[in-house]
Amino acid sequence: MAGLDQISDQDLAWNREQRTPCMLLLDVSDSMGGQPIQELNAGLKIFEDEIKRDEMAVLRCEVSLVTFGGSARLAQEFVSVGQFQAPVLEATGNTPMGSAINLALDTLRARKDSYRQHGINYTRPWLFLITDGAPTDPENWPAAGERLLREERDKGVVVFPIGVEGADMGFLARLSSLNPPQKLKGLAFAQFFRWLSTSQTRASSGQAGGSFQMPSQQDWAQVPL
Amino acid sequence: MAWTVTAAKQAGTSHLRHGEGCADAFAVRTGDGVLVLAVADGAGSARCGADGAEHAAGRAANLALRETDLRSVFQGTLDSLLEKVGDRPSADFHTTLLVAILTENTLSVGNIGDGWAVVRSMRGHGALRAVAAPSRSEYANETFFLTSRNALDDAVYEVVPAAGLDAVALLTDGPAWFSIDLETRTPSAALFGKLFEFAADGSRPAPERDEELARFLASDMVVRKTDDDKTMVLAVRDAR
Repeated sequence: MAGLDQISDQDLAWNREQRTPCMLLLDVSDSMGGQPIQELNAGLKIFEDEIKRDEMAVLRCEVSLVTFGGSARLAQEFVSVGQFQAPVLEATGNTPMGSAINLALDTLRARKDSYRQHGINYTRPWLFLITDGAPTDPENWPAAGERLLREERDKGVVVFPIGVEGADMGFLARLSSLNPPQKLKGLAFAQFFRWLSTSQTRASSGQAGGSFQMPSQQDWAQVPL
Repeated sequence: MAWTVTAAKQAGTSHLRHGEGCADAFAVRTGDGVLVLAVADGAGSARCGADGAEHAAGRAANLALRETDLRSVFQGTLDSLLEKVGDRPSADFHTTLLVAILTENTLSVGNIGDGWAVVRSMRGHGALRAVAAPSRSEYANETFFLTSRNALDDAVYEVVPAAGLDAVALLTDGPAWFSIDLETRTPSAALFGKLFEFAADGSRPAPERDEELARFLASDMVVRKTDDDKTMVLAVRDAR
């Protein structure tokens, strides 16, 4: 009698675990000094702790950090969240958002190339841009903003602009044609990063067909009046 | 023309974790000289994806009993689904749809989305191959649906001679993850060999076979590989 208990692990096809990449583009300019940067750092630590609790997320989610304060810096290459250790960021200098966007998009492109080379399936990358200001690098702006929009339109990335107190929301609205900018409620970085951990975990799990229902943003996003 | 059919579905562990049921559906119909198999996968993002899948698989299978042109089957299924949707957003009912029509002479497969149809050919000495394999997309979790714009144009259609075919499997993307090498698009010979051997044992009552397949789809071995919903329909030609 031929039963299915004859099937063993070796009979199954082997596919590489799919990856869910997420890029955090963080404003660490002077104006973020003091409490905002402390709350941001605490939020990153919460993200690290929460997302590591989900077994599937540890296998599939990847995160990279680009910061801009004085200069644009790749603060964290893409790593699996299992290896991610929240850095302690310091606030300094002006707001070279344009070159930071370019650096983030270049980093994303390189990551996708590497996935393709290794035959790894991946989900559409998310890019969160969190700022309280506007770009101070006119040599890269507005070209970098246009590149970001183009990349999003070509389905290369999904952009989520987020404003911290004092941010120019009208300006942020020009950074994504998919997602309206959200304004952070007070300094609710903790709530935001908790939400991000949940969202990433859900995006990485086997959901047929693209955009799933995102968890509610009400814990951290200011309700528009 | 006699075939033995075994079919089952199981909710994915990620769906169970979020308090959701299985959004997959399947349907099997037999008519005069025709066997129809259909599977559908309701989108995770869609509020009523499970309803969409259930409706699509059932309606498509009914239509395919008397209409062998798959584009017409899809059109009829879409029309009736949109009627059911009414004033609600059709995206709430997003579902993939994979239909196979087996007659004496041909196997016709139409594929909207990311399901897989795998056949075994005795003329090819038991070689397996995917028929109407889904088109490649850049992203792992993005596909298109019956309710998507241009779905009937984007669908993959393929008709192959039925002579020599002795087994057919239809799957949603969940089982594809552990049964097909997605890079080379090669079905696992070892796995399908054992699945078809199991499904060929028509001496056991159908409900018993269906249950065993359902148990396999919920087994630790499978759940370690995928947390998505899983549906499999296996049809094996009876020995003459």
